[in-house]
Amino acid sequence: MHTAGASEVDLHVMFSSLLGLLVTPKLLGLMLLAIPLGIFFGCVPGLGGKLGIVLLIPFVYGMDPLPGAVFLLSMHAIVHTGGIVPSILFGVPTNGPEAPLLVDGYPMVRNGQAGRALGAALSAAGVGGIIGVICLALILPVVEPFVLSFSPIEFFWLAIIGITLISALAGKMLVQGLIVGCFGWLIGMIGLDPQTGVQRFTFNQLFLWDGFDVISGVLALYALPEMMQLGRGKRGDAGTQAKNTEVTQYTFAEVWDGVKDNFRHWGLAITTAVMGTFIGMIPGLGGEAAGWMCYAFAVSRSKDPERFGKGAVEGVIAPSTGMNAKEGGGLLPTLFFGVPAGSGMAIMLGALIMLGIKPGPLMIVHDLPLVWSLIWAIAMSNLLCTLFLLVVGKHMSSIAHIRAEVLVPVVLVFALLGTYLAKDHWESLLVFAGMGAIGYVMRRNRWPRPCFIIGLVLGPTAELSFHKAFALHGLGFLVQPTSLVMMSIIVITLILNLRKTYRRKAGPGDAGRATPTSESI
Amino acid sequence: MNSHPQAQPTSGWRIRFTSTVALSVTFLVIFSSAAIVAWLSYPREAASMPLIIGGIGAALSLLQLITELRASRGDYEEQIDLRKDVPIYLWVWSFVIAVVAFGFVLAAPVMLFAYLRFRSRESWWLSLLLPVAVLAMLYGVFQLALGVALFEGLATPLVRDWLASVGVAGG
Repeated sequence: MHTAGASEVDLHVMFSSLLGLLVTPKLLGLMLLAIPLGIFFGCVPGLGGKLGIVLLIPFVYGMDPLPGAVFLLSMHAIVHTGGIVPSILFGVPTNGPEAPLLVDGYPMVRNGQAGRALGAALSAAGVGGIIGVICLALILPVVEPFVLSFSPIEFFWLAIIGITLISALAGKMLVQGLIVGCFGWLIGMIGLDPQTGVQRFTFNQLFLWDGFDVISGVLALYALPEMMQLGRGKRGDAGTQAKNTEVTQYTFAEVWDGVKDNFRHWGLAITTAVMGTFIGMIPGLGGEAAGWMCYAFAVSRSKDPERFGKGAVEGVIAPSTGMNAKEGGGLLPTLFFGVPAGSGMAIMLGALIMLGIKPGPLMIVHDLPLVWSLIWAIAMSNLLCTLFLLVVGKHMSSIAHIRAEVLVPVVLVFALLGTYLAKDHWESLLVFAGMGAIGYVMRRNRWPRPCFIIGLVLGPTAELSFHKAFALHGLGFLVQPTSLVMMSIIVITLILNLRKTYRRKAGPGDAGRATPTSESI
Repeated sequence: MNSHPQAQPTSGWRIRFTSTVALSVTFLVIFSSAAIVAWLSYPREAASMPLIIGGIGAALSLLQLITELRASRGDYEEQIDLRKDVPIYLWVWSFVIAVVAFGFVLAAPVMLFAYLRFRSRESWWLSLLLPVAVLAMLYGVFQLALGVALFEGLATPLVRDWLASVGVAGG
């Protein structure tokens, strides 16, 4: 009886959230506004979803949590879909995760199948995004009791596991990644110590009393270095794709043929979407891993693997579904454990906190309508974006030709605005410019900057949970069965990542070696 | 760091102050200072985590510094080109200083115009259009529509008071 009642309540919450999203003009309007913005951030080289979130922070400042979160998440969920158009048509990935699409997408374009490639990739992205949230919706009731049983011990170890994933994010630059992660953690300690109330590293500056927020850190270490990189050359130096209008001369029938390819390869589309969702749930793997792993899966299950790389449509479908499905999966650890699945979700986490949302296990109890609204927002924005791009995709491709010289100062203004509004202190602007120099040198030398965000977000969580667990159990909590299991996971993860790194020792720039600088950036 | 990003000759195996060496030194100083400050200034409970993280960070930075110094003696391709990087960084600071002094609504359009016209060499038309659009966004959307109180700058109230005192504008 109780279970049936609870299910009815869950179904009621599920569908009332959808209805709320559809019939509230403000929410629907924000979602519709987020779609062109997401396409814009996806299409323009050098911007991407992470910068998209931080640059839109000023616009959600002061908004209620639900509209603000729906707006940001809808935009973030479709950035990769937006990036598909210029990546396939011009053969240049606008942001990292779109890279696997090029392997077969661009050869298809060169074979005169631009419309089919675009139709297949865009509809696969839509399918992936929707299957991703369906998987999340199905998993929710299963994880609910699991999430609610977590104590500070589990949260401490979960945060440490998240931090350990720096070793995966850093790849070959393990030492540099750990340094950057420690830097993020140290910056996260600025403010009042949660246990004693003592000021730490505030230097008696009022603006540092309530800590250093994620948004300012991301803007300083991401937005500013990216803009400096784009703006460092003289006019015409910055890389934008050469205009090739021939590739946009395709018909809608060709696009529709690509859409039908998803039905012809429905097994692949569904499998890679489910794969993408689960990859998205694993902190540290991120969008690039989802795309490449799904591509590798498509090659491995093909009876004719030699077609790949020469324009196989399966090579376009698999990474597209995986890339977008991981957004739904990434929401699970981010919302319910406060552990971001990747650097994009880490920034989203900071934005949600700024909006007044408190990610953690209690969300499943107190904020379920909000959770469902966010899930529906991802599904709907994926659907609408796919339909929109299938129709007008070729016209949107011209966004990729926006010149960096024009983009840089405008983005800089909004980055400054975001930094200021995040804390309401003008001193943050000086910190932004100062830290930006460190970020820029890191960016030029390819030090792994996502590790900074992991340290900044998870460091304070780890410290707070440690103190709580220590207060409850003393140091004895370190030898409890849960701790031993979690420690084993950490050790195994570290060993696997280190083995992976040292296997590549013959290549340049392994862990413990100098920063590789011979490759172009 | 040097002004030429090309690979440097290996003559004499001389240690050079490269950008990665500078980065490692910066982190070493930051972590060491944090650990020392925590040790000297905070109670034990509050100091424990900064000491652990500062200590680990300092040790790793030292390791990286040694690695980078060794690497700097060989073929090293410098990624920082001061001729290209300093001007753009000075533009960033000029944006920041202008906003700190005169606030968003005044400084952002002016600096945007200056950048577009004098750095990007855009046409007068675009150099004026974009700042006007940004001004409309900042003042119209943020200040008026959304009711966000944007920072008006440290110098703006002083200038306004001075103008009022000389009778140019109302107080």
